[in-house]
Amino acid sequence: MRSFRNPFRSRTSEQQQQQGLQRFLRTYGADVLDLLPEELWDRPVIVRSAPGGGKTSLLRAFTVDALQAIAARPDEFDDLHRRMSDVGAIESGLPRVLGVRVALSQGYRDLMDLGVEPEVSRKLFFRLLDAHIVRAVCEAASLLTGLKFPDDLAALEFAPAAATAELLERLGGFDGEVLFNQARRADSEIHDLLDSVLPISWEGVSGHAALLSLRAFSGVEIRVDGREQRVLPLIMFDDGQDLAVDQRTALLEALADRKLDLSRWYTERYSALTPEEVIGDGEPGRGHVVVPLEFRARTMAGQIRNGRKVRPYESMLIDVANRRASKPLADYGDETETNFSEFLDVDEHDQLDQRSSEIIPVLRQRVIAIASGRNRYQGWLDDAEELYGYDAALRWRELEIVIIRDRDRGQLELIDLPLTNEDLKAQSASNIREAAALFLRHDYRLPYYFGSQRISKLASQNVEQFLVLSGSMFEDMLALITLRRRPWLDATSQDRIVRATSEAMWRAIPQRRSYGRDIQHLLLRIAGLAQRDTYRPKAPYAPGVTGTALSMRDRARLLDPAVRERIPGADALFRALAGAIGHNLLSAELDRSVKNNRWMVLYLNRMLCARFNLPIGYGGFRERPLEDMCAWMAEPISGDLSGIELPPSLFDS
Amino acid sequence: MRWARYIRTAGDDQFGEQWEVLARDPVLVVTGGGFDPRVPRALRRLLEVAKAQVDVVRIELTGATEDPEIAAITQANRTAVDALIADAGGTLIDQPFPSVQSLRSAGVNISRAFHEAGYLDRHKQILVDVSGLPRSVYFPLVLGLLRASATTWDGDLHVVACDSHEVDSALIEEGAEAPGPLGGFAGPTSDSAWATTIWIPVLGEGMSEQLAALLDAIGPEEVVPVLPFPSADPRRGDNLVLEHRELLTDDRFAVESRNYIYASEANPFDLYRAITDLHDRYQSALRILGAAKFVLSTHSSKLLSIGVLLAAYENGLEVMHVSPSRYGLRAGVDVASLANAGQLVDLWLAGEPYR
Repeated sequence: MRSFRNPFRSRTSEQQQQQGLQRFLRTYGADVLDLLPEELWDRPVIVRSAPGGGKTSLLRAFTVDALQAIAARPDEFDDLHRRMSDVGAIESGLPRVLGVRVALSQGYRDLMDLGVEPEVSRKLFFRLLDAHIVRAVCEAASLLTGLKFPDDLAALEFAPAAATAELLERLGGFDGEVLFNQARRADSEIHDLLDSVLPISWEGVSGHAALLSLRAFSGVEIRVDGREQRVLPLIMFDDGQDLAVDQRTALLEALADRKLDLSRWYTERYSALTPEEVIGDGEPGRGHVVVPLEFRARTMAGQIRNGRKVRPYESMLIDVANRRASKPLADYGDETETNFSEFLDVDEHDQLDQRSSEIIPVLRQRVIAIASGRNRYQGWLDDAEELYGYDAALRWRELEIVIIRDRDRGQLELIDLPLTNEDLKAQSASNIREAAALFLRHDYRLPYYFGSQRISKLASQNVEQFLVLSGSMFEDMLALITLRRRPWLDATSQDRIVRATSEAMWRAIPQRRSYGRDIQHLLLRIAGLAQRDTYRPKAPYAPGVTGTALSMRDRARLLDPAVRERIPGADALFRALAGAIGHNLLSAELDRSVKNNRWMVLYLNRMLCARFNLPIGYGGFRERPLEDMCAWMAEPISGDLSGIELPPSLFDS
Repeated sequence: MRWARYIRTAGDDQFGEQWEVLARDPVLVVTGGGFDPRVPRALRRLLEVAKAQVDVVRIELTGATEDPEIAAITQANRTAVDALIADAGGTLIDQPFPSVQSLRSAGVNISRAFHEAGYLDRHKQILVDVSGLPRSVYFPLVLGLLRASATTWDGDLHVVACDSHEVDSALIEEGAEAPGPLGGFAGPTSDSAWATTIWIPVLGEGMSEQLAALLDAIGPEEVVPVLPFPSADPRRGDNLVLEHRELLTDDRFAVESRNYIYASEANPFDLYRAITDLHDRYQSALRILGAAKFVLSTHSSKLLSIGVLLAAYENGLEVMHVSPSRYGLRAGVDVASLANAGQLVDLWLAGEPYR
């Protein structure tokens, strides 16, 4: 049987090979560059997101080989080329920055555990980081100039500014080969120290009192066989959350050095922050430009950047999916005219299939019973009678909600005048129709989580989450192609896949996160609260409730260790909240003004909403006092929480 | 191949018979101080037959638990070991868990501290009971002892594991640290030039998240998964393939059907030999292109993990790992029955038989 490749299953940003780079650039959503700040090159830029937020991909796009490829093929990578030119990374068909990625997940933290004074650990940290920066710069400069790495490094020369010549000499000298060899020796020496299972001999071990390489490469001219290369070094530190607290502080201080004449970026997950910083306002600014990716993705749509309107993040995700799937769809299914997202946008009428005759009469009877023969609703009922299929089901369910609401209004008995279509529009809205669609899913297991718009919203501004879901959708499309059918994915299949993906995400929480069961415990309570208020007959918070809120005052109390000590469960709540927000399982909006108070609103990750049969629009939340939330967490938990359904009798298994 | 011929005993009775002879000389037992219900079992059996003094070094484990049930099992283990050693007249030394910022470096610190304490100067017979120790601790500890035995120490080294699928499946691993090499098993430095990277994961149940994290971290060109076969449950290998089918058939994994290794679930030397053979074959075949980088990882039982340890030690390979940040037990498990489940398997790794 022919074997198919699923284009959503590869993390192209991690692939180093040339083929991987081409694939990465072809499928990268260039709109992400619109989320970057305008000050990119002079001040340190700190990019933060939850895992899978797209940090590494962003850095990958600025590495020298990626910039070379983009500069060389402006027609093939037109979106990227335009944006890279706008920000000044490419000029006159050539890269203008020497983008170098330095991974911080290489055992730096272990240096803190060598059993020596913190000062010695810090010196070793700087020496090892210097070695990795030097190595990465040498490799990038070789790539830029077409030298073979590391064989041709002798042809590479770094001509420093006068003030930094001494620093470069301390790192080995001006010659690429000598610099590289000294870096390699330092790397190997420290690697052996860290990996030693026998007592360590410290004789002859040395470190660096400061991070030398950033200053050493400041204003440096890179020459090959005497010819100058006009590029500005851009050192991009990735995965700062893997550093020890002291190392992170030392590195951020080094990056803030105003004497540096090179660009430096730094990425980290929220887990690098203390729980106080995650739940609080983040750390105070220190001359850095901070880019919280998810927040920017949520808030920047519609703004003008470089003369272009920033597209909604969901549109960018759909674009990424279409790019990824385009070639496989063409190769495997000869689908050159229809893209991935179009195959998800199925006709709503198909949702009822053969069940119209079963469902619509029941809904109709229910509404007629609620209307109790009142003349007031006759116009609405007559209109509904004209509809058929899913439209009819949706309208009857909408009328059920609206009539129940209308009946509870005080002066109804006095005014039994017929209501018009205009009145229906006034009393209903898209949020009530959304609630009606959700109720239909609940009452009749009709699909709700389908269509490219909803699928992209389920990503919760997280690329990886979106790719996982799209990968599962594509899996079913491949099955249809194998059966020689067109890969239209019906609504029922999409809904099933969403539910399964949501379930898998839920079950992975304890496997992936520290205090995962505490996080699940908190999420279960929030989801329970949300379900209760979403499925009330009047749909009072239509389309539903998907979060909770703490008052800003309670939030301040939670941040106070003395208060946490007094309230049982507060510490567990503090940890669970920090873990859930840090991993994008809850998104926090600070200082929201509602009901004469200010709130920290906590929304469930949209993908988890599917597991709990909740809507996916942001909107309703039900606030709770701190003491109530702490009481949730004070309840004892035991064993695995992954199998718990809410409430078991109400929803499908 | 260092362990082409080896000494292994399986079963509590055989373990007792072997140590009835060996424990005519003093023995130092290294054991874990955690909640694993298997902790006291090997020591109890050893003390039943030992004629000479038996001392114990108990490695304290991290994870100050808030779960009262786990705390109670940990305390019961401590009490049992304390009582056993007190009755036998041996000495019990608690080696504290090191204060570390990176859980990954705890293992190498434990190993260094063990050697600095000078136990090897005083003991010629060491039995490391890995039943209650996590991989991040016993891999560097056993590696340190193997290195010492290859250079300065001429004693006998045994490793014992209580092999129990019931206990393994009752344990919950929660949270995941960033992927990284196990202490002592970082392999060659990262700037070595490799012709290709081959990853050999020993598959286990419920480890999909760890496997996915390692896949991203290692970025292999080829994956050679290990399945347990023969196994007490003959379908276990099939079930593992079913469980991990998405990863195994995934484009990134690119596992070819002929690439699976089958290794006896009960005999770590079988896996050791399979990996060593494979390593030698690849290095020989790829010689003209350069060396192949082998990265191992283990997600299965203690015994199969020892096979990985031995292969990595002999061939200087990297062993990658994703440490959980907390351990726990599934709700409703019968701890008393877990303590008696499975069997003791003793592996004589260094010393007299190999001279």
